[in-house]
Amino acid sequence: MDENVVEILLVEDTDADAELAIHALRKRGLANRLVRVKDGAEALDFIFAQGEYSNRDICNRPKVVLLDLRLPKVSGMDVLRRIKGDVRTQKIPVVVLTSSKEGPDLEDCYKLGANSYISKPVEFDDFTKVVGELGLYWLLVNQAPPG
Amino acid sequence: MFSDDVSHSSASTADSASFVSRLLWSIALINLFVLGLVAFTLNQSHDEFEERAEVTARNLSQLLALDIAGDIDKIDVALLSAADEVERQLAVGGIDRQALNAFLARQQGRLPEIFSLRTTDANGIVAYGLGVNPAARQNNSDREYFFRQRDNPKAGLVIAKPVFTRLDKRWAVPMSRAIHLPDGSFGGVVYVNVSLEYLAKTFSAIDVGKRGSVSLRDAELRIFAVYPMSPDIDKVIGEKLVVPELRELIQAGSDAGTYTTDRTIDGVERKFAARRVPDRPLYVVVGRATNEYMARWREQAAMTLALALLFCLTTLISSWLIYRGWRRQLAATLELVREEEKFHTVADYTYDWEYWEGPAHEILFMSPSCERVTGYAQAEFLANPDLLYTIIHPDDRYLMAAHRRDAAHEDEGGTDFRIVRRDGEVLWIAHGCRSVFGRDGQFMGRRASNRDITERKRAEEEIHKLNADLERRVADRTAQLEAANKELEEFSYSMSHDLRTPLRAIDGYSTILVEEHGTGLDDEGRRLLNAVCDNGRRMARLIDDILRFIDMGKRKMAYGDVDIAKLAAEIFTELKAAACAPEGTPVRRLRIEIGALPPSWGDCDMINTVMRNLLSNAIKFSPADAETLIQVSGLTGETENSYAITDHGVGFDMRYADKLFKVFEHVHPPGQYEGTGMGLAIVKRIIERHGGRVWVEGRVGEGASFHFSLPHRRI
Repeated sequence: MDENVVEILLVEDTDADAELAIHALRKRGLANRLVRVKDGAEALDFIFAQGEYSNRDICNRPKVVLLDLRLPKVSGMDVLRRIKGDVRTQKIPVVVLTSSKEGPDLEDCYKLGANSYISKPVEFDDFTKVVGELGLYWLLVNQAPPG
Repeated sequence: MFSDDVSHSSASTADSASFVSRLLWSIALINLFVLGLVAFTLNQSHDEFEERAEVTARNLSQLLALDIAGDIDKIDVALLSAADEVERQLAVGGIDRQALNAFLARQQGRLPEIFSLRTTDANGIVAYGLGVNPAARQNNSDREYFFRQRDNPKAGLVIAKPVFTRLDKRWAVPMSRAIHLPDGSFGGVVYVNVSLEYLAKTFSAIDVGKRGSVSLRDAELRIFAVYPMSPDIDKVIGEKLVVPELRELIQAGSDAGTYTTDRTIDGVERKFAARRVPDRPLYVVVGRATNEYMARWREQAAMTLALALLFCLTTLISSWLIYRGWRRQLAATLELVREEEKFHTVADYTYDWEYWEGPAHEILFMSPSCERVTGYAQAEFLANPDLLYTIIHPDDRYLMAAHRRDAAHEDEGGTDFRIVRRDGEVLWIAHGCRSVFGRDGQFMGRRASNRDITERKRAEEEIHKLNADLERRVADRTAQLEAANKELEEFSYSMSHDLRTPLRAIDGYSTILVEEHGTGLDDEGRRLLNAVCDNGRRMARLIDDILRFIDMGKRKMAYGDVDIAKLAAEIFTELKAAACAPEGTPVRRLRIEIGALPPSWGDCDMINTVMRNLLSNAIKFSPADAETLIQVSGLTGETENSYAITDHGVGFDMRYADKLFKVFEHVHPPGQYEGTGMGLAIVKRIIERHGGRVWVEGRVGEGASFHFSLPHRRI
């Protein structure tokens, strides 16, 4: 897959969750241009076109990042901070994936500039519905700004 | 101290007694001396008066004696010249009656003392003289003046005892001289009658005082004349009324003498001076009344005695005044001594180390207790005021220096410092002092109290150490607790994430299996897959409840007014809708009755959870096929308001009431009623965080009543 035309970057360490999310997105036909990375460091490499992804053009920003907070190496919160702290990437919509509505993270995420969040419900039906709708929303409504 | 007191009072009593006795003795001596002096003086003056009276009496008696002697001489001359005349006429031929009578009359006229100058013949017949009638042949031969001349040719001048004259009828002292016939024989007498009145007049010419007396006596001490004249003179004249003193005097042959007697005619005591008329057998006795001549002495004596008494009185009064003054002074002195002793006791028996430092840093007072505290004696401090500062621990001298600087402009102050005792031990001292000012406001130094606070300091240090230790331990524990809390938080977060992830996977994969490969499964396969999903979801709810339970225990509370009635109504509406929501479930007939509820004060979200759990419980345990009535009621209490949610469902056995509110405890077997068993535990936790209580009443088959209380709002 051409890494320069990626529309969705899924940052998710848990394979099952990643698979289910991709399944849900696929059902909506949104998984064609999706890249999944397994940890925060890889996510940053991808976004900032560095390391493994250094041949990628940084200007080809994903249209939405689905970001799990609990990640190995670099935490989701740090990834979010880096994305929103850099003028080149701060406009990328970030949808945070959380396991629970409780916990202090949610508020911090909004403060850091997260655009939305998805609480990952246990019921797969609900998850499919929410992920699909949100993915669509950000891909279709929030077209990448010109330039 | 008490024995001191006793000795003081006994000393004062002894002082008092000796002072009083000395005072009395000196007063007595002074008075005795004065009285002695007065007695001596009075005695002296008495003697003087006596002597003067005696001298006066003697002088008067001499004067009278001389006077009477002169008179007698004069009368004797007249008698002699008359006798000479008679004898001459007889010698020349016979008496010329006329011439003789004229002669006698002439002579008589010259002598006022006498009232007759006459002659008798040898037979005592009155012959010639003024007023003599020869024919009467008056015979005076019985008269003393006659027969003494007749019987004694050498009788000379005879002075006879007074007689009451026959011719003149008057008292008179007759005097006679013999007439000798030419042959030398007795030829009669010439006699005169000396007037007693005249004598009395002579006597009265001298002043013997009102009660004095003058008498004239002959050698036989017969009274011739007396002054003053007694009214019963008849009984006196010629009588030998004589006191032994006079008799002895005359018998001793003295010409003069004095004596004092009260055996007088009128009984008045007199001092008498007797004197013999020169050459005559007559005695003049002058008496002066003792009362009279001593009257002035008595006056003087009375005056002197009065003055002496006044003096005694004055000395007595003065001594009393002195005694009183002395007593007062003594009392005041004793009071002063007692006061001083009291203050000394107060000052000397202080437990703390007390002193008074003068303006020039000299020690004006140092309590003996200084030795107990410092080991240095009182005298050492008094001798060396610097000791006060040199015993201060070198490290703490700056404290005292600073305190002394402050003290210069502060009335009161203090500081704590250490001292080094004589034995080298270091003590902590709490020093407090204040300025001393005199009556007129002048600065008189500082009065200081030093207290040994070593023990206290030690205890404080110990406490300080313990406190520090405790604080450190509390901090350690707090850190541990915080770490544990954080761990727990992280744990719960992990749990929510990590436990859910596999559940999600179970559910997701099962769903995909059903949706995408369902055609390959028979009914039993699908039922089993559904059971897998149900259990996964159950576990997810359980995790959610556990997280909520943990959260309720630690989240911050936001207090406010909570309208429980409104909450109950809203939640009930929601639950009722949810109960009827899934299609195909039978419509449940649910009803709620909300009574008048007291206001409540608490965290609205939390109370919301409480009501939600209790109401959903009530619905859950009510039979689905019958009409369900849920009642919400309230009660206002003194310190808390209580609320009850009552249902008429399955109820429970009160034996298990305790278990209801415990985590994971189930009263009903799992599977029978939907739920995690966490709801009531969360309710209990929330109510307890509000300071309230939860309890429950119920019976199997008769429903249950869940109660909770909330304390009144604390202002």
